[in-house]
Amino acid sequence: MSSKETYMGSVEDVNGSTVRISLSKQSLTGFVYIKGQGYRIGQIGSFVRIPIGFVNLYGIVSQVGASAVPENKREDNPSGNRWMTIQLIGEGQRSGTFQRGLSQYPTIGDEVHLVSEKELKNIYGEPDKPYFVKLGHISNAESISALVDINKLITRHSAVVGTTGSGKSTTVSSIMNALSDVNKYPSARILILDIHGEYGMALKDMANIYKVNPDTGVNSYEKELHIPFWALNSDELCELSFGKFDNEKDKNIVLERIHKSKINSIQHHPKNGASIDSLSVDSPIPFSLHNLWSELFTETFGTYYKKAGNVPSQNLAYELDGEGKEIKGNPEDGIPPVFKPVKNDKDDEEKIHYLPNTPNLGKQITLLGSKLRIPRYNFIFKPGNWMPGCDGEVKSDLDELLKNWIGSDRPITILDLSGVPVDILHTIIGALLRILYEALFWARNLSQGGRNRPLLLVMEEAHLYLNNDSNNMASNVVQRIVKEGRKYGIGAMIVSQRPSEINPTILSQCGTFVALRLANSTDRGHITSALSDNLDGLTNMLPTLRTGEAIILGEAVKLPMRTSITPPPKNRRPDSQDPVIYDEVNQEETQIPGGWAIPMERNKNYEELAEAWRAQNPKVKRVK
Amino acid sequence: MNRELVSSSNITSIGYDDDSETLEIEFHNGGVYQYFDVPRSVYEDLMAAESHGGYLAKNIKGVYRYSKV
Repeated sequence: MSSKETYMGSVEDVNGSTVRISLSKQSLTGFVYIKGQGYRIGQIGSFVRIPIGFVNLYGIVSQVGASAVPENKREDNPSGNRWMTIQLIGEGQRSGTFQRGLSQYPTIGDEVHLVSEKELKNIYGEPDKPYFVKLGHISNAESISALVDINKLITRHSAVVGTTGSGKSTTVSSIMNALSDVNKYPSARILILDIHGEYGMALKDMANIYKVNPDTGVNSYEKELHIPFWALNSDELCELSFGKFDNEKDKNIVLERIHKSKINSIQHHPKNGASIDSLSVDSPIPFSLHNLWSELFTETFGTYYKKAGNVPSQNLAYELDGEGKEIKGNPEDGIPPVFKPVKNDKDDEEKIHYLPNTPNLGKQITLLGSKLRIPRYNFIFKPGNWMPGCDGEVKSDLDELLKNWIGSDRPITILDLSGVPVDILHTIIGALLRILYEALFWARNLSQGGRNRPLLLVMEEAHLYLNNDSNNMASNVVQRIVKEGRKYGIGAMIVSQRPSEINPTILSQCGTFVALRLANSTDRGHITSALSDNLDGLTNMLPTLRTGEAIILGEAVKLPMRTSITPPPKNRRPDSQDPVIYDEVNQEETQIPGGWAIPMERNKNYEELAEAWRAQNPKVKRVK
Repeated sequence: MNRELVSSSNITSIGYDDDSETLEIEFHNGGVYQYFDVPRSVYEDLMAAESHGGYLAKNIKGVYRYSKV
């Protein structure tokens, strides 16, 4: 095994897992041949082997040249270029099995050898186990597949980070393609939060796609996304509907009323598992928010005919319409009743007063009313089959909702959130994830629960909603998921181009990192500090990775791997490619219809452009 | 809309809808685009052209507006 040709130098300095070696004169040529294959010595990120008795220690080169000289030797080595720093990462028996961690350390004078491709193969192993998926191959050794252990990848959470255009979305779809192999994993369960609607087209064969305002054309593969308001807990519901309350008392009045409506609902429509004693305001029980709103509106703004012996609430002073009918409004459409103005004239017998004990909720109720009317909010407040009637009856219940999201016949569900108003994105995502988390948490013993059929949650563009803000509901729920999700079968995959804006708790809980090119030093610092290994050298490579190349490190891989990710087939790539300004091939052969190279359009139509914007839908009516 | 397969260096299939005068092009990379208000004669010429890609570049691009489907 030991041979002159792989010999590089000897150990001179050991400091924890950091080892400094001085290169031998022979290896200074920098290029050696082993079994006909050329290797360059001293490439950052390459592996070295230090044989000690019956075991081999392995390390990664992190520094070469002048600065690698140990401090006290600087004066003896004015040229300073014969030194190399390596980080030890693990050891292997002579038989070849490799494991992370060290049982012993090298000492001064130990030989350091180059690792050939054959040995590298032994280290990475080629486990023919179905729980490994192949994402590509090792960058400088095409014959070695980059395999990832999905057990660790999913339960210990992961993060995919990289600058825009570094191949992040492609990497994610590549992972999705590998994980949604129906023959290998017939019960795979993946949910993607797709903020920009990038993945629908790429994964439409294996995924159910839910979207707010879906394309309803014949060939459309999108289904309508509903998030029924009654499935939200009180904080989420208040945030989305009533907005901020002036004080705790007002809030409690509203919560009390919601609680009452929910009790009323299960009295009329009992549900398994829900009892009046255990029911709380947070329980996911259908109730009519519209009726509640209408009642509160009446109590706040209502007037009545005052007469001795009259009960105020039975003598409301509705305004009359043209035909003499009382304008009672329509709670379901968010149309409020109209009341006559207050009247207290001396000679007029008819006296109209405000109702007694009006709650101080005018602002909140007006806000909710406007939300009930705006179609953009229909996915919450008019959730299709989940819309409760006046005493809480619904066509479809929670089970149907969960079945759609995580129990369908396809391995992947994409929740396309591109139509969700940006101001409520945090809350919506927080609510969505909490619903899933709670469902899987409480169902942990059931066959469709989290422990028995774990869920992988892919969070795209995570920096948009997982920031440090303590009021951020999404961030709070995800913190809970990354801390406790492992026990209940919920794995998170955080995808972001700006890891420094993600809550550090979330990032630090990610066991596996797929780091693509990352130029910004703050971002890199966050990744480096979140890594458990002492691998500064590797993360220093991040700014110079090629597009589609990633360093995979952490629990799901035996060793940090510099990997060329195999992109999915062309028709399965996400819709996030850079627009083409001027295509490289000529106009006759280009597959790009636009760009700056074509002549200007004769009948430009900016009406359609405006239409798309107003409709908040990239598909205009013409496209069917 | 039904598209007819064609042999071309960049186009996979071409379809046409008479009612709305819409021409639909699928490229080899999987992108499908609809060109609006294209007369039937242009579609027929496109189908008859020796090089579909060439005809598209010359007579359709920059003339008719389109949208990705």
